[in-house]
Parts: sequence; structure tokens; C-alpha cells
Amino acid sequence: MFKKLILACLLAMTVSAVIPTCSFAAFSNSISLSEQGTSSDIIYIKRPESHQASTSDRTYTISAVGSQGTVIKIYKYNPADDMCHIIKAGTSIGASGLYSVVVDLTDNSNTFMVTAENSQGSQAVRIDINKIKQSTIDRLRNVTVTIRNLW
Amino acid sequence: MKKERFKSILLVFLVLTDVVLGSKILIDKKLWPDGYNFFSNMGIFYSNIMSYFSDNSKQKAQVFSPESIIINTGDQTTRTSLTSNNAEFEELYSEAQKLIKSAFSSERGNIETINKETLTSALSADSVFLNYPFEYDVSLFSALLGLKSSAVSEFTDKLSQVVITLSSRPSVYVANLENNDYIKINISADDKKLASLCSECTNKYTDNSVINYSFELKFDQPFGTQKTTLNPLIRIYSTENEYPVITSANPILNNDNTINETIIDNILKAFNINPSTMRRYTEAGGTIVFVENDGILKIDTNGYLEYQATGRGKEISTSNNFYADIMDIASLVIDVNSAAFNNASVRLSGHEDNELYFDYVVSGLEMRIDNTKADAAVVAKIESGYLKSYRQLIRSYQKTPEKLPPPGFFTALDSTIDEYSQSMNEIRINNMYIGYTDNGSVGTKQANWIVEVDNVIAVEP
Repeated sequence: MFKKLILACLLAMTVSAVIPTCSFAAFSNSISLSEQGTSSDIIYIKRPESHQASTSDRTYTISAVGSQGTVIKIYKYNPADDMCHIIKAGTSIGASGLYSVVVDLTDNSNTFMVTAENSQGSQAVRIDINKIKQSTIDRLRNVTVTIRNLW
Repeated sequence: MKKERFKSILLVFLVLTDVVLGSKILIDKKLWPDGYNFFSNMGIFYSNIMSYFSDNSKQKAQVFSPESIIINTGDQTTRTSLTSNNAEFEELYSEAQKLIKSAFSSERGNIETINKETLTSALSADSVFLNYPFEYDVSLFSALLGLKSSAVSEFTDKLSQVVITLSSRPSVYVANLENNDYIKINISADDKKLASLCSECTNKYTDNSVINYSFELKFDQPFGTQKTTLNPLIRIYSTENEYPVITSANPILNNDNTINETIIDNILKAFNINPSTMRRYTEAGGTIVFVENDGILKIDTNGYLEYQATGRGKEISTSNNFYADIMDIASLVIDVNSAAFNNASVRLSGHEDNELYFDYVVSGLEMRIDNTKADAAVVAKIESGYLKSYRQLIRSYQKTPEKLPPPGFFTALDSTIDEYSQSMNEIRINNMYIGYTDNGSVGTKQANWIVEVDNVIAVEP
């Protein structure tokens, strides 16, 4: 009985020691879309602020701020295998704390994962960029709203 | 008979040579005092005629040109940046200037104060952005457009950025980032030619990197522990273009370290110094000193030229108008630059009271002078049409076939921040652009980022 208790304690200690170590491990070249990391305040995405945007352009610039030494990687979601694959290798944030990256918008619906890692932990942020046709934007620009008298 | 004919031809040849060489010496060297001699007066007449025909209006236009022109298309991918090195720059600037002149001639009723967001939305649409190298006084800017005054001065006293929107109803936006003054001027001028030029450029320069303004990436807004904020109109390039490596030479010295007397002669001509009435001597360090009634001109062996007026100084302009004085000083700067056979153009880079600053522009990029003896290529002080003092670092810049890219935007920014980060809590970057730096030494120069730190808040002890 006593042996079992000691074993259980040892197991619990091992698990509690291993879990954080595993969490801090670098993101691999392919990650799941549900990946979140261990923290939510490693980086702050400045653009797109709401983590989603629409544009008619063929590229989009994602910007972020974080502390010096944080390593950022960019992944793109591939619906065929339901995984995100790395498209921009790890870049370390410098003394300015500023980071930006230009991504190509090859599809109408583009999902990216921005991962950040430093000694404090790791974070993964999903970003969705929809590509819309220029003609749609032009149509929207010309829309005029007429308030009708409903009575 | 044959011998006689040969003698006659030889005699005519010798007489002609005598007349040509004799008059050249009398006119060029001004061997007789001004006002007393026919040849001397002829010399002035001759140089006036030559200056009338030598067209430096193009160079003068460059003196007051913007540092860069950005063509905004509404898309970040096709946004295009041009400098004076691009063939289309001059025509684009000239067309843009017509619309700016139209705006600055507008009545007060067409001008309105706007907020920063209205200006930034203009930059996100089809528009042309002109970025000037310093904050111009509106009165000086108006004068350079050929206007006596402008109602714009009632809304802001300075400006460094101008945006022209290209649409069915074009407008001109003026920004004074120092005071956060933003104004919009509605114009009725036709922008079709400018729009067509912009379209040509964006189709031609398709390999440019993606350009974002700092405000688009929200780097102008602080967040949390973010130490660094950027001026909202700083351009951030995704990849760097390659720029030519430049060689810098001191043309005052020949290869064997003797003084290049041709250049010294040319400089004296540019300053209209009469070699017959001035006194020349050489100081111990090798500095050549020319003393005349109006002032003292010194040229040292490192290429530093210094003129100091004695008494009233040298008469530059008779107009009694500061703006006309600026034009005349620009002519002098262009002339001295040409005298040294420098391929670089010059651009006004600042002014303070009666002092004007000019910098060299090499291959479309600013050559920033940064050494203990000078912080601008030319500093000229003028009072009531008289040149009081003048300093210039005489250089000759040549492009080499080698091209190299500068470091990336963030690499340059981070290394600047590194210098301050230990002692500063908050750092604001006023401007970041690519240029060359001349620390006074001769040799090769590579294009690099020039980072202007606007304001820093020190860590409290």
C-alpha cells in the first residue's frame, strides 16, 4: 500500500515536471489548427486586430508586438490534411519589440497560425484573411442606402 | 611662291592663336580691376551670357524636390516608391506640383481641418504621397511654388508631407506631424495626367517589395510593454532593393596629393572672386586662403571650404526678398558643386532664420554628412541679399557597378533601439529612410538605413 502511494507520488511529480517541459518545446513544422500554446500574452497581434480581415490584395501584412527574444513562426492551414504547415521560419523579435510579416493570399479563404515562443511559454494565434474580388469592393463603395418611408 | 603662302598661313594662325589665348587670359583671369577695363567688363558680359544659356533650372527644381514619392493604389502589393533616381520622378513631381500649386492658390473656403484618420484613409486609396526631407515653412513652400501667399498658412505654419488623392474630385492633403495639423484642400484642377503617369509607374515597377505605412501596422500606437512607437507615415519595406556602392573622393587633391588648381580656379569663379584683386597664401596645415575686400575664402586639403564675410559680405541678390535669396544661394551651391565636377545633385535639407542647409543626393538617396566638422554638405548664411558665411564639404561621388542591399528594416531599427534600450523607457522614431552617410573619409559608401530618433523618455534613476 505504502509502495503504491510512493509510486503514485513519484508519477505525479514526474507528470508535473514533464508537462511544462513538453509545452515549452518548440512548435514543429506542422501543427494542428487547435494549437493554442501555454500562454496568451506572449505576443499581441496588432494587425488584424480582430484576428480576421478581408482584402482584395494578393498579399497581407500581419503585425505584432512582443518582448525581445520571442521567436515567431508563421504556418498556413491546408484543408487537405487538416494541418498547418510552416511557411515562415522562426524570426526572433529584436529590441524594438515590433514584428511584421507579409503573407501571400493564394486562396479565397486563408487561415494562418502565428506562433510565439520564449522563456515564459508559448502561444499560437489563428488569423483568417478572406480574399474578396475588387469588383465586390467597388460595388460596396457605390452602395447608397435609401431610407424609405415605411408608413 | 609656295614658301610665301606657307608663311602667310602660319602668320594668320599665330595671330588667331594670340587673339584667342590672349583674350582668354584677360577675360578668365581678370587681370585688370573690375570697372576699369574693357576686357574685364567683357568678362562679366561673357559670363552673364554663358549663365543665361547654361540651364540650371532643372538642378534648381531638384534642390526643392521631395525625398521620395509614393504611389498608393489602394493595394499594398502594387504600392510604388520613387526617388529622383527613377526616370519618371521629375515628370511626376512636376505634375504633382501643378495640383499642389492649385491647392495653395485656393481660397480659404476650400480648406478644412481634418483628423489623422482622414489623412491615413487618403493614403490607403489611389493617391500620391510626397515626402519632403524637412518641415517647410508654409510661406517658404508657397514662395517656391511661385505664390506670394497662401490661405494654407491660416491653418498650419509648417508642412513636410503632401498627399494628392486621384479621383473624380481630387483633393490635396497637407500634414504637419510636428503639431499634428492635418488639412484638406478641395481643388478643381485636372489630375488625369498625374493619374496616367502613376499608372505607368505601377505597371513598370512591379518587382518592388511590399510597402506598408507604420499606421497600417499600428506601430504608431503604443500597447502594453511596447517601448517603441514609429511616426505613422514611416514606410516599412518587406524586402530591400539593391543600391549602388558609391565612391567618395576629395577632388581638391590630385592623386599625387598636390592641389587641383583647376578646381580651385572653378571655385573662385563660382564665388566670383577676382584672382587679380585677391591675395592668396597657404597656411601651415596646407589650407589655401584667399583674401579679398568682401571676405575670406579658405579651402583645406580635406575638402572643407569656408567663406567668411568681412564687412557687408558678398552680394548675392538685389531683390531684398529672402525667397529670392534662397534661389540665388541654390545657384551658388549648384555652381560650386559643378566646379568640383561632382555628379551628385544638391537638395535643401533645412533652414533656420537666415541659415540654409543643403545635402548631396547620390543615386536618388541622401548623402548624410556626419562628422565633427559638418552636419550638412552646405551651410549658408544670408542677410539682406549678402552672403555672410558659407561652408561646404567638397566631394565628388561616383557610382560603382556593384550593388548591395541595406540591412532589413527591423534589423536597422532594432540595432538603433539597442543603443538606447538600457537607458530609455520609451523611444519614438521620427523617420527612417535609406541613404548614404559620409563621415568625412574618402572611399566606398554603402546605402544604409538612416534612423531619426525623435524623442526618448529616460529611465528614472
